[in-house]
Amino acid sequence: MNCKDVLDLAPLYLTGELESTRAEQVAAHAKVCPSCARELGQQKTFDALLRQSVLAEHFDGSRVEGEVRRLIAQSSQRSGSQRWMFALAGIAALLLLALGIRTIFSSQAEPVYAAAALDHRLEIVNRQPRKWFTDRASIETLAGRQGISGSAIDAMAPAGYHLAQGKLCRLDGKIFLHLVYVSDVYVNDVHVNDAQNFSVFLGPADGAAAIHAETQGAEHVAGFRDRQLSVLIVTEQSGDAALRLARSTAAII
Amino acid sequence: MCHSRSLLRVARRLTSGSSVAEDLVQECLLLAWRSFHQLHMGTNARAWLFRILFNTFYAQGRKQQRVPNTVPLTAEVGTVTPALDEAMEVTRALDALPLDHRTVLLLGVVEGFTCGEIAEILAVPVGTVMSRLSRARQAMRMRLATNKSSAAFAGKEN
Repeated sequence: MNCKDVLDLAPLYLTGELESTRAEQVAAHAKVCPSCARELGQQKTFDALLRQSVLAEHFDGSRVEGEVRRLIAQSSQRSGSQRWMFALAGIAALLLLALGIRTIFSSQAEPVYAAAALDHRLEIVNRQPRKWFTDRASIETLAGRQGISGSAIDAMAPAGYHLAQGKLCRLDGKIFLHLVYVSDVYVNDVHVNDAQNFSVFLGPADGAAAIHAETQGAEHVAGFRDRQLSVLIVTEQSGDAALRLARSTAAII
Repeated sequence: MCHSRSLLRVARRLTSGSSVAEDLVQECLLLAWRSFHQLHMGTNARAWLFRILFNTFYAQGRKQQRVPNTVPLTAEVGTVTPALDEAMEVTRALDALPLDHRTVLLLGVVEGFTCGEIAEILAVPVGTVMSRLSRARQAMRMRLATNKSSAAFAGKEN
């Protein structure tokens, strides 16, 4: 893969849409090519500033929503009771859409997913001060106390990422090992918990892991539970990227 | 009510004023209500709403398209903080881009849609989305590179 290929694929790489083999090739190229690594980093910086700048403007949707509900009710009143029922169903549908459901009929939000997303926002994006361990030995000691082996820590690093820091954190009342893996471009959080003392929904504890994914604001969280561990992966890349990372991690561990 | 806010945010950057943007989003939501039966299980509802928004916008013949550099200031000039100043500079540069470039940046970078989802919303090939994204990023970075307050865009990473 050469520099032109990397730049051509950058839009897909940055949104996490690139299939894993090619994403690994891009990451490998960026590791040995300072120019491409700088370009990918600058694109990421640009994206963050653009997002932040546009989101800084506040928009109030209440006036439009109120007007739409009024128009729906008005058109239904004119057409009799059957249309009323239809209108009510329509309003319910509108509310479903407006309330932020990304994929229709998806599962309800899990508190632990929201907590993991909030942790990422506060501790990684906003860099609120926390006591992190950056040396491997201390992180392994923490992991050991949670029944998590050193090999599991390695297994959870996606291709092109390395472990940067770790600490214990509490999500929805349960203690998790919070690991942060970084690449040249992205930072992903992985929260791991010994599945034996973890009861909320993440997927079946038997057989192959089922992956449950949710989008919480700008964070995408994908989680699964196997026989030994419960794992939550948080990324800002995309929902697809979170799912892909969870799938590859589940396949390895 | 995050979808209507997202729709308004994008509509505001496509059109010439807040009332035009509100009308566009209102029309979009009414069309979504009328077409709700067409939404199937597994459909990405958010992308579906944005597709309706853009179809409505294009159907109106882009008559109400935004005129560049008409962004209202959100604070008194004398009280603009450095961060707000930079944000306004960035949004002004965004508004000055051609519509196609502005659209992919809004959908991809601000609203977090993937290239595949953007292709579906705009009914164009994924390759077109990728090239528009690259060119749009490049154009904005070049525009901002001349300003000292946007050093990150100029290739001087923080």
